[in-house]
Amino acid sequence: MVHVQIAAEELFAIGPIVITNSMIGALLASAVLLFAAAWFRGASSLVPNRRQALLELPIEFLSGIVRGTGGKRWRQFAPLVFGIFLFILVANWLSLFPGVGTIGLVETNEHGEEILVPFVRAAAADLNFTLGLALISFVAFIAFGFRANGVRGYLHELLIAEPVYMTPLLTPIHLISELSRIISLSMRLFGNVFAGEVLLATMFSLTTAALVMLPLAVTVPAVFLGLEMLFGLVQALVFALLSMTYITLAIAEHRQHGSDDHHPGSEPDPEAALANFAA
Amino acid sequence: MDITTLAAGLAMGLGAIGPGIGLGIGFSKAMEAIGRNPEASGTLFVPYILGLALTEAIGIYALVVSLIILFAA
Amino acid sequence: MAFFEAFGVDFVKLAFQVINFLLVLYLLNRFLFQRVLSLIDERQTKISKGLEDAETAARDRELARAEREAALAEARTEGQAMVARSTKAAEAARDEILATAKAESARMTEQARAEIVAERDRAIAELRGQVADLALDAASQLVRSTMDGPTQRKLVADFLAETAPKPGSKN
Repeated sequence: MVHVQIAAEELFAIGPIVITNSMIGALLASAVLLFAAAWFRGASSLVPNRRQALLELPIEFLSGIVRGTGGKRWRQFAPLVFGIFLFILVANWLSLFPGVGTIGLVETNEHGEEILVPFVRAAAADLNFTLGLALISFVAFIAFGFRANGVRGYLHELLIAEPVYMTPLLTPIHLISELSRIISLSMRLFGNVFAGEVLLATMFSLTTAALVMLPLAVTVPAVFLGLEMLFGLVQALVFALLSMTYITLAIAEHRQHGSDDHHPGSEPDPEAALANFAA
Repeated sequence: MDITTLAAGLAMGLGAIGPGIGLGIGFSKAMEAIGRNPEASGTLFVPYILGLALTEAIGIYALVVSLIILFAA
Repeated sequence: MAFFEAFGVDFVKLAFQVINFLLVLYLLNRFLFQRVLSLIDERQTKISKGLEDAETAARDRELARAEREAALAEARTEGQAMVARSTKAAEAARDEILATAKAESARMTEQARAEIVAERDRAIAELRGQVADLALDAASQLVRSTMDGPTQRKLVADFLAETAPKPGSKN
């Protein structure tokens, strides 16, 4: 039976700060990104070599999307989208390295069972990480809404429904749908990565047991590792694109007059229409 | 084996039905659209990914609920 | 909240993750994103400028080619005109020379003929005079006594006119 630990394990404490193994994962991802940025700063040129092109590729790809949907202010929030994407992507892919979640100390918990406490845990398999990112995204789209439409304009749009007598009914729904974006963003990422980790652990333990009889079983987890690479990429993309869509919607909020959830004509972007369904 | 294990399994299993069907429909429609008009695959990409993410979120909710049943309740 | 507790969420850990991400985002934005975006922009302007330059160069080249061709064509027509002009001039000169030569020769022939005719006439006239004188002398010596002047002379002149050769049949 695979041991499933839903919260990140605590390793040690520096003063009041308890360091968990998912913090180590997040710090590793940060280190990789900062190293890449430092290298890029020194080595980049107008004519890119292969390594530079590799680093520019995701940024160029995302900037095309953000430019296409973000409107005039795309340059203001594009760095946030890039940062969310790269950070989650690197954190997810780092968690697929051997040793992550498998190398650690064996401790006994309060029930007297012996459990493994790994040194490094996938950063996104900790709700702190994903909730933190979701809160940043939430604050960002509120801030951009304030900036684009003014505090009063944005709050008016948020709190007063279009036919005024419907306000008591619609405003709570509106508020809940805005707030639930935090939960949906953070839970989506956490659930995917956590479930992926559990899936991988299960596959490894199953095939390890079968390895004596079926040596070829060693290829089974490889398939799931490949799938997890794909899911890591997709989840990073989804988080970044949803954040971008929320910000775009907040900026364009004042254009929604006269329609409740769709805005025909004024905003033809399918993403914007889709994001209205976002929980 | 107590009843919470059963509840968690049921929550996850039943909760995966809807998103599974939804993801299948979404994927098949996207493939149909690309088959009809291959040049549109670029413009389809972002809404498609977002739609899959939003559909999949329902399944993730089921996962979270079953996790809560298992570990938090 | 039991929900968040079960997932291991507490404020300090959350704050750590948020601060870590914001720090990384700041540094990445400073050293990577802005640089990449400016690189992309720079590349775009450079490429469009390069394309424009290439277009101007092509246009210039086309212009130069047309100019060269026009100059060539002009030179060719000029040369042709020159050749035609000189040919015409040469022809004219030849015609003139020919005409002059023809006229000269005709004139010379005419002159020579006239001279010959004049010479012959003069010779004939001279001869006639001498012959008449000789004949008169001879006749007078022969018939000095019987014949008187005018009648005899008329007879001899008639005779001589009958026997005189036609002008131009000799020489």
